[in-house]
Amino acid sequence: MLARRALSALLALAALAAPPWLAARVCDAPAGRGRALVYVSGPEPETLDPALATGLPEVRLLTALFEGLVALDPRTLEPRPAAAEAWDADPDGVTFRLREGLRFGDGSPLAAADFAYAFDRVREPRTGSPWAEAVSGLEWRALDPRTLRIAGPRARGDLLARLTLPCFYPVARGAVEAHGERWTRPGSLVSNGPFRLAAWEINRRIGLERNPHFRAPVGIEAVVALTVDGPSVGFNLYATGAADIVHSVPAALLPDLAGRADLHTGPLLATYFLRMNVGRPPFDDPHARRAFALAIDREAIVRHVTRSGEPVARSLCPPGMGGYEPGGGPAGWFDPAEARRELEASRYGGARGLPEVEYLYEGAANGRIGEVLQDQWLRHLGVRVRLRPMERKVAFATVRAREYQIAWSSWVADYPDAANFLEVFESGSGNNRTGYADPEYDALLERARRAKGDDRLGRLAEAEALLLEAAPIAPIYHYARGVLVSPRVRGFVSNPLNRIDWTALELAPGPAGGARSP
Amino acid sequence: MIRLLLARLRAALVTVLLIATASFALLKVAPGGPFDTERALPEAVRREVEASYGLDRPAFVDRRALAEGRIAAAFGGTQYAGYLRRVVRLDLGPSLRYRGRSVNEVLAAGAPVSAALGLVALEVALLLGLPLGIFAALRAGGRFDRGVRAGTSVLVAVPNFLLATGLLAVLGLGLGWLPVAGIGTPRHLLLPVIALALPYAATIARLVRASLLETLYLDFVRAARARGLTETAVVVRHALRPALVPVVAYLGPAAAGLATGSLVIESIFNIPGMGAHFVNGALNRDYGVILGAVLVYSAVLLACNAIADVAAAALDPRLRAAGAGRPEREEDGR
Repeated sequence: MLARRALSALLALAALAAPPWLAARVCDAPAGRGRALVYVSGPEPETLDPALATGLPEVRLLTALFEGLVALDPRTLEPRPAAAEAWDADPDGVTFRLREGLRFGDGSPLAAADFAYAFDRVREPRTGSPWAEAVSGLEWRALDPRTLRIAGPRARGDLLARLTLPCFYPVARGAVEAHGERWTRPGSLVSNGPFRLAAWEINRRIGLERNPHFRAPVGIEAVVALTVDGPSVGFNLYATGAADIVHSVPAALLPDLAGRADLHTGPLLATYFLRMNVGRPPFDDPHARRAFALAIDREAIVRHVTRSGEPVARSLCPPGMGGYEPGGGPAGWFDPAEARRELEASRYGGARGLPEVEYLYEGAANGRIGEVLQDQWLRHLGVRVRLRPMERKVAFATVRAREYQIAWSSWVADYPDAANFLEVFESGSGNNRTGYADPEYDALLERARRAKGDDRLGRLAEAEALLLEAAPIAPIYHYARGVLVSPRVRGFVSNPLNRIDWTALELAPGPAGGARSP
Repeated sequence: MIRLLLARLRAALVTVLLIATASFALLKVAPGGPFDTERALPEAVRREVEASYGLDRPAFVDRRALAEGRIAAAFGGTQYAGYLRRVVRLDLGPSLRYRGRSVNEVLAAGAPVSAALGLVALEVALLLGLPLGIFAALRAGGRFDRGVRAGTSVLVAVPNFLLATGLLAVLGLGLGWLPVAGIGTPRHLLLPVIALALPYAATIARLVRASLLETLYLDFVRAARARGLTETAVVVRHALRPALVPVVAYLGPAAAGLATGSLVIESIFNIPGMGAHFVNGALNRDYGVILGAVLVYSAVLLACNAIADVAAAALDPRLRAAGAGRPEREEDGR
């Protein structure tokens, strides 16, 4: 009896002690908080394979782990030498000269063949790379360990800017062949950037350590990228000093933070716009498309709905990409009288002749914009538009299948060049989804690819003007950024791609994060 | 008892199989797929990727093979058959969103975190709720009882995201006493544990109070009192045990829910647990992850319910006679 009681008591004690014991085991504070730069990365990265990654959190990590032939200057966003020290352009292509003594993070030598191998991987459909189109029209060859030749019909125009895409980073064949899809894990990921992958805890954090074999000095010993879903958590971490950099500040907080020295604001190279399906009435008539585009009071949307200082969009391409001057669309953009005239000029003759129109969108934020659009179209055009909210994946599938009339959309620059935006609406592009196909537009882009300098930008602007006149899209606004950076981070340059120039950063001693400043 | 548990296990396996089938079917009829994103995969690449995950095969029945009379191929080569074959080996397949990761790996990273958080919260809820409920029942109608009833009503009614953000705003951001997100140190767990535990503590207190009040007036308790036992002995030895049966019944599903992660609490405090997989897995159409999360939850729920049944039987002799005995005897008779 006594033994049984003792056993019960022991069991009860064990049951009481087990949960706290388990809890203590799942906690482990990140080591060396003081010497590591901690930044809020975003949702769990889908991959760290440069051939596969597309999202901004992934790209930011990849720019720390890898280095391409050229890299973007964080201030000017112009390509500058990186792994390549120089290049020669000729009518057929570009020959890159790699720096001497380049090494991967594991100390093995890095050669031109490692670039060629990486490009091969992107082209191979079995890799499953979303960037397969970025390497099409290019041919490459390692002429010797330090010389890489890139030629082909698309080896001009925006080639240098395009080469800053992660899919053009060098990859160590040995790592991929030894570990297959799992080569992106700590211990097997071999990379050539300023940092090496030290830890990757799912949904928690990614640890980077300084790469001793990097070609240049790196000011920061270690980086911790926190996996965070949703903007308020990131801000909370920064506000309590648990993070040094956060890129997504909740829009509602921006007015309160305005004027603070640690807040960096400005536009982003990204555009919010509407897609119109040119295969479906009433958007099969360019007059009707222009009517809908002209009836949108963009000022009202950025002032009352998005409220983060977004610039109103008059073109698909955001301003601030090299010397590109966006091609003009219908004059004035918001012009209710002109909008009504356009609708009357359409074969529907006016609001009464229109079929029912549905506006497709996903998510609450796009819904708020949708409600304003609905109201503006009713007021300025007399058209009653039905809102059709959809779950995100269903919405993407529906737009891709072109089973919509007019829908929300956005495009974020992969690299700072107008071609990156305008090529979306080439007739063969998988991202077009409007049905817009104009041989003249395609020809202008093709000519731009073969041209250089101002001539090239001129062709692109002509193409954009053509696109805006045909109006399969209606640009609404360009996105804005609000980045908080702790005063202890030195050398941070805020830029419209929201990238981090990893080699320029240094950590000053002192309190971490945004600290508890007033 | 063993036989009872074996019967429960058999039923549980069938239940899990049915849940797996139903969830799989629901996912397959849901429109939109894992690779429908802002940036489209080129068509050739998309086909390669889908084939590499077996998504190019028919979901349930290969109609062509069936028409040709190849029955085994018609059902054996489908996505569903492949999925079942893997599940039997406890392999939940690859994640479709996190390339190169297995679902087992993704869930294994979150499960211990959710389990730790949930079980600590459960313990706190019990340690708070039980005494509150017992004392409230013993002083029914008194000031303490009224206080407990008012306080628990509020806690049961307030949505947990409100409670959690309130705690976070005051204790975390306002006073700066506690960390606001993540699980770096045990201190990090305090806010989420409190936010998780309080509503459960309130429910437990109310259940115990109501059930104990009822029990205190039953014949066997009155008999115990009549035998001259002290009130403490009456409550602890006689009334409390049967009074805990409804609490135990409630704790089965409650423990399963807590241990597999609360989406709301985990997202507010940025806890890398399992909770988010239930929603994100579905939103991302990461078929493996959402099916895996559902299966893990079902298994934990069935296990917790079985434990609750056994505990209830141990607490109340009447349940042993009624529930446990009969099926065994019937089987013996055959």
